[in-house]
Amino acid sequence: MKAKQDATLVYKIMIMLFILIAVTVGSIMFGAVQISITDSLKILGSHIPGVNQFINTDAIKESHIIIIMNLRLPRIILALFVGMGLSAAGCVYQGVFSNPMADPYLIGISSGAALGATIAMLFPIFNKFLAFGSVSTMAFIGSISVMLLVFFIAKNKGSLPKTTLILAGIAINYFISSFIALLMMFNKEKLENVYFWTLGSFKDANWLKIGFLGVIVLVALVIIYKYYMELNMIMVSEEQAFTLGVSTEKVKKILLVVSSLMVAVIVSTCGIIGFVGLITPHATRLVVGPNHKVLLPMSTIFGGIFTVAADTIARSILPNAEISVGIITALFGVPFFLILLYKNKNLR
Amino acid sequence: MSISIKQLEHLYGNRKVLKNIIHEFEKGQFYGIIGPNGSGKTTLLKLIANLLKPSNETIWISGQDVTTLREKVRAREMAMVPQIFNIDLAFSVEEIVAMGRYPYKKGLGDLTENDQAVIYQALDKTNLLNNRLRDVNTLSGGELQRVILARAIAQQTSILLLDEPLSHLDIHHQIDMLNLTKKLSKEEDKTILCVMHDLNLTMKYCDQVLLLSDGEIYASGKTKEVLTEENIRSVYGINAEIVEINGHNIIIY
Repeated sequence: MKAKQDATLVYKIMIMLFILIAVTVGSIMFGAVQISITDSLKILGSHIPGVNQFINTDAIKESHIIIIMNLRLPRIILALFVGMGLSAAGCVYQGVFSNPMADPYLIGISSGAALGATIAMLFPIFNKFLAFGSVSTMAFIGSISVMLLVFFIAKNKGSLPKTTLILAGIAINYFISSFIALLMMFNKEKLENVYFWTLGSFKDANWLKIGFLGVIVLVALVIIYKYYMELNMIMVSEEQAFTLGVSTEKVKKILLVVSSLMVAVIVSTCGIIGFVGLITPHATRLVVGPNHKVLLPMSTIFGGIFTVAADTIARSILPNAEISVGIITALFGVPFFLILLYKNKNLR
Repeated sequence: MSISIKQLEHLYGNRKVLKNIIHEFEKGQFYGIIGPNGSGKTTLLKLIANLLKPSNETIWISGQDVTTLREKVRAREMAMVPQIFNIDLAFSVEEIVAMGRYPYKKGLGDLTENDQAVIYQALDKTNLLNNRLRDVNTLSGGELQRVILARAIAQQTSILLLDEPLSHLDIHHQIDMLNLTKKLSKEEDKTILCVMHDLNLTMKYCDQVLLLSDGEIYASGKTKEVLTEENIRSVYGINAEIVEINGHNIIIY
């Protein structure tokens, strides 16, 4: 029976992966310029070693090749990694805090990033750092500082009590929001920049960012998945997990630090994309159940699908402008989630 | 000795909630830990389970200082059934019981065939085989408590700690739980430490009793010798009469 269970899991993951690839490839043809699916596929294929010799791209406009390879593809792949990372981090936070309301921004990482980004936009004294620019660098410094501050406040003789972590995080969230608002009051001309940064966007994607963020997300995912059993047990009850032999404090620390670092990198790369990290783990749990052995991979893939789809809508729904992806994730995600909640209520 | 406690004390802030606890728990015995509210019963159990940190060299489990044991090693020595609680997650009964095999896991390994067999035995002993695929958030309190006991059985420990396992259970499920636990002490030679409230059930099921009062051991030993009219009067402050009916001692308040 166990072998059968494992087979269904592999089967489910295969289906989800297939949907992921379909959505990713499909999203390439959408955008301000409509490019046909055959052309899109040809352009993609011509960049895959081994396949490229069979593909003739002479008939395709040079500009289309540039749009796909330099604009759309990096953006889609970035969205993919970001969605996967946020969703996995959401699973971890909801598990560790045994709280369905927890999301990756709970302990203040996002507001720390927003503060860093705001300072960088208001006082452009910082030089470019790699390909990330001063905004990303400052956002990263901000988010890591806040994360360390929250851990430091909550730490009690080597343990990290959940309630103190949450309360410290929420308090700091409020404090920083007010501080940003204050900064804004004196710099009204930058208000729009800051506001749109916080809504999040993938439009500055490039291959260097993808390489950096992708490696971090993948490493974090592997580390997190190693602890799926401990996450199950801690989610049921931290105290019982301890009597069952889990080194709860150590596991909590590893999971929180790894996922927080990943979220810090994500947020400082593309702003505060809300909702994905809260809702995709939830929605997935409603369908596949709470066991992280299944939940983590399924929710991670679903987070990728959801974010790529949201970004595709964000950049193609208006003819001459694009909408911030953070708006789309909530605008389209909430109704979807509410329907799921409603249906699930009827099932029980 | 299964558990020995030497000069244990515990402070909450400045208040001493346990003092001068010295006791030896023998293998295969069913111990009832009783005493009025606030006498330190649960604190004692949590110290043994290491949920509260005892001082070094005060609590010894199978000859080892409990504070030096690694988490998984400790979980192979003793299991704990907590006070009743809710699981609001759709884990199946079998998934929860399988968590009892965690102390035996190495790395990412899946359940072995041996694990699977132990889980089935635990489900069988607690009469849960037919319900093993049910979600635990659909179970009643009594059924859930049996699932948690099955999880503790799957841990295959020599010591079982139960913290007021009977609270909020109806009398049928209380007796059911006690029968199961008693069986484990007799048939599998487990040492059972159970925090109890009902003195008559204590009289009926426990081999030995530890009577706590104000953080100290007031009396300990064979159940009949500890549960006397004098002891009940001076610790609980009530006048009780003990009568023998059909060979059973019954306490009448």
